[in-house]
Amino acid sequence: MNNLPPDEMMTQPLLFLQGVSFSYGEKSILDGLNWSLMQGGFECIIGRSGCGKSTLLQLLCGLTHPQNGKISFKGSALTKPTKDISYVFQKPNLLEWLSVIDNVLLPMKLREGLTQRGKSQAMNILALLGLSAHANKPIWQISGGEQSRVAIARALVSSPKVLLLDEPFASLDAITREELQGELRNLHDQLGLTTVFVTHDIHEAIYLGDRVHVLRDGHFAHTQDIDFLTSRKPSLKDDAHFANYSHILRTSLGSKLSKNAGAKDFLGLSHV
Amino acid sequence: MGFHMFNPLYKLFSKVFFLVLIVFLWELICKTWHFSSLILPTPLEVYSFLLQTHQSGMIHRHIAQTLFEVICGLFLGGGIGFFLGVFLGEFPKLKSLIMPYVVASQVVPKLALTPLFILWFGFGTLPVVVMTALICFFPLLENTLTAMEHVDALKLQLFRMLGASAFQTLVWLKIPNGAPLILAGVRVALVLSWVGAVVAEFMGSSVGLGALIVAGQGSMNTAMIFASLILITCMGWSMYAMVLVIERHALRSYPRGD
Repeated sequence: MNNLPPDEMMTQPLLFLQGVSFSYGEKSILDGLNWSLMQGGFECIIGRSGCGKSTLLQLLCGLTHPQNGKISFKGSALTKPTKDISYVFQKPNLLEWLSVIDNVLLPMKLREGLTQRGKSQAMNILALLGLSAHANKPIWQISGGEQSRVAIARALVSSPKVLLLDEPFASLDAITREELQGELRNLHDQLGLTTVFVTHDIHEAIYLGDRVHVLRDGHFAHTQDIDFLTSRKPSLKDDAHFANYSHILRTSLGSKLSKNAGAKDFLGLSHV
Repeated sequence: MGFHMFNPLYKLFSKVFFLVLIVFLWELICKTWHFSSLILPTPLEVYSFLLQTHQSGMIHRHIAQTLFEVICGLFLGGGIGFFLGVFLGEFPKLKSLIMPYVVASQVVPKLALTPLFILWFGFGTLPVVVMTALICFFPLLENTLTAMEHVDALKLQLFRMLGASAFQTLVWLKIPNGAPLILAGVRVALVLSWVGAVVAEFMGSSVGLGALIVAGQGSMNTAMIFASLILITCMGWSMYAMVLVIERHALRSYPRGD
């Protein structure tokens, strides 16, 4: 699939969306969306429920096709799912009758067959996510947070270039979610991944992303570069920059809770 | 506390005790009311019939025949039911075409089909096996088809994303996902297979425990009828318990409600 020489790859976007439109019947979900996803980026997408975040991810992994426009991956049209693009679902979506290691090895078993190298790769990823001790346990014997880690391990086992995540921590408690956010960001940096993370949580998007896109009315209504002077750690959420980013994104989402919108609503001036 | 430590032993003891109690009450009723052995034989009479026929080897031939028919019918009918369930699950458009005939084959009284089977397949093992298979195939078909139709949409999406073929999705997802339901179908089919074999033997066979019941009726040998019924119950129960053990082993990695 990779038709480009390495030096050209650095300047070419890894994933490229041009005028992408998608609708369910009469309801337009995406409307002429343009997006260049460069290698190594951690891009977050936020938006209200039903705005098309999950649809966009399904288009990005080649599972669904746009009705208009085109999507290319590494310079070639993306027509079907590829092992270079992995997907993490909202629910862990694991096979309950398999052990942790067998769930992680599933992509290999289905795609290229199981090899000794594949097994050791899976064990390395489990170690990276702190799951080595659970490798042979049945899925239903581990916690919700650990199941989310297994789902991430399964997505990483085939060494993808792009990792797509659809609100993977939405159902977890606050502490576990915070731990997993840190682990995900570390994995992204360590493995040199290109990550697209969909969430409805503005704080999560700012904490994780290098860039946050606000999806509204079928396109990116706002794109915010996130730049922190210090490394990402939970205390960052108390930073003044963080609050500022949060305010900007809230406003872009059209939230009535943002400072200005709230005041305008209160005075009956929201149309101004 | 002390008694609970031996809980499994206690359970076994209570079961054996209950069985002995039933046999004792049976014997007591026969002795108290002086029932004729033509109406209700005593447990001792049934036991002595079993012992005699065991020593002469006569009963072995009948046991082996019925067991053979049950196993053949179960594998044949269960196998066809399973594969047809998988087939209709994979090609759901054919379901509305085929299912009415399948249901028709089940609602028609099986006993009414036996004369037809004797005409078609002759007198002996074959019509009994065909009848047993006809009864066994339905629970497997229904349970397999239900299992095929109720696969989590998100898991199907995962398999599509992983580039799985239809065969891989069937083998790695649909069948394992539906295994508890399919195996429950096997248990139901197993119980019904004994009904099928014995009922078919009533009309279409001279060998087998069903045929022995008919012979017992003809010769007014109630002990023979009771002995046959006890053997059918014991063998059916043993096979059910065996399948239960296999099922527990096969599903040991599945989450359980308890």
